[in-house]
Amino acid sequence: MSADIHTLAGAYAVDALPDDEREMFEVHLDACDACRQEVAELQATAARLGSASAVTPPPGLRDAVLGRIDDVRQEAPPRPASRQEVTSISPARRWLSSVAAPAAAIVAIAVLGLSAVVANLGNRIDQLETSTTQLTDVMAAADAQVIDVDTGGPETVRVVMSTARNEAVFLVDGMEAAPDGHAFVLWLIDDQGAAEPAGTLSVDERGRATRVLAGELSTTVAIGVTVEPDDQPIRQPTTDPIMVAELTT
Amino acid sequence: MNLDDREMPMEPDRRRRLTPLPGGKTVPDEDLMAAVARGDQAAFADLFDRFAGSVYGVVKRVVRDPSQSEEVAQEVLVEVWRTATRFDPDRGTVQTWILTMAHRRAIDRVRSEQASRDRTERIAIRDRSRAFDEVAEEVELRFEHQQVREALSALTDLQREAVELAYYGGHTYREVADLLDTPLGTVKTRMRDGLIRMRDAMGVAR
Repeated sequence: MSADIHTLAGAYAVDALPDDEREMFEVHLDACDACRQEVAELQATAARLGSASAVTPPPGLRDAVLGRIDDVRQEAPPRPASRQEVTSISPARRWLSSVAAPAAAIVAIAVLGLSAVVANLGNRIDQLETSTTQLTDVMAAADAQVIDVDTGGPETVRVVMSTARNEAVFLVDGMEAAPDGHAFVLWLIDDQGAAEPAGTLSVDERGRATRVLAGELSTTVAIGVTVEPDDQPIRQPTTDPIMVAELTT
Repeated sequence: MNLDDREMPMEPDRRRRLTPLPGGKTVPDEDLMAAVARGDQAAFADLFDRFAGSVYGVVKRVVRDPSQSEEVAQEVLVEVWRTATRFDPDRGTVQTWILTMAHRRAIDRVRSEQASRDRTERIAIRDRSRAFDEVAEEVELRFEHQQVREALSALTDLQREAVELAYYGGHTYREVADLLDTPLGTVKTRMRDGLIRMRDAMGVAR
């Protein structure tokens, strides 16, 4: 599935997005002024629908609520939002000179038993080792596309990409950490089967990982993940990928 | 706010927006909210009187069950007190802020119920959409909401059904697509352009 993320504003305003899409859209909202403005207006419109439903509340509600607030501490005023500093990720370009021969086999291999689900993206943002700013920039791009990867089971893997920005975000959930001494490595695979390393995927204790991929996406047809020893330079895949997400829809 | 006012459903708009003070002065919602944020419990009682009916109405429409609705409404109103400092008048009205929170909480309740109900879910969805038809009629009968009614009636059938099934029925757009036997993309688009048309018809700034 791929979709223009901006069209979700209406469904978001009436709370009709499933939880995972809702959270993803909220990440997008953080960065997209136009959508934020539109959502504010559509929420105000929806509130009119709500106001039209006003009925006399149950008789006990007032006392119950006013009785409770005495015991509820109010939040301190929020501070102005601060964004996480950009941590530089290794641009794929840096790998380019050292990329070795094509690994044609990779493209042919379908998704292999990856237990991954994308959810709760919003909750993850502050844990991202990659840059929040880059992530939201991709989400906010005018041509942002969401690609849900069919893993053949109930699991999904999600890629959000912007061709114009030449960037993509790779998201998984429910994934086991790499074995000791190993790391998950992401690869951009072109239509010739050449694999270009695009950084590592750090899975947190909750099985989640997010990675901003910067590289030559215009020639990328798939994103692969392999398990590599983490004490050796990463030049080309040394193992079969545990999964390949095809980008063509 | 006394009980008599609450029993006059034909004039709730004025009651909700402006509370008469001694001497005929009124306090705008935003000022009341600012007082609440400073911990003024009397101001919160006034705020309650302005919005409790809407909050309960929104929640009831989505959740349906009266005792659960009351529970959710109570949570929402306490949340308004707790997070009052977050309200930012530059980003919307008090009404929008509170009712957005109320609707969201109602949806969350319905979804967690649904998740635990598993196989009976489909039945529940059908029941809720049937119930929704009844509520839709209630809305139409209410004179003071003529503007909302007119804005709704200016929509195409698909726009109106998509918006109503989502907002009043509490369905996700995927469920709406199923219920209306319409492609997902179309439903998303109709929800959005339906709301945009309503926004324009009602002159909602935000």
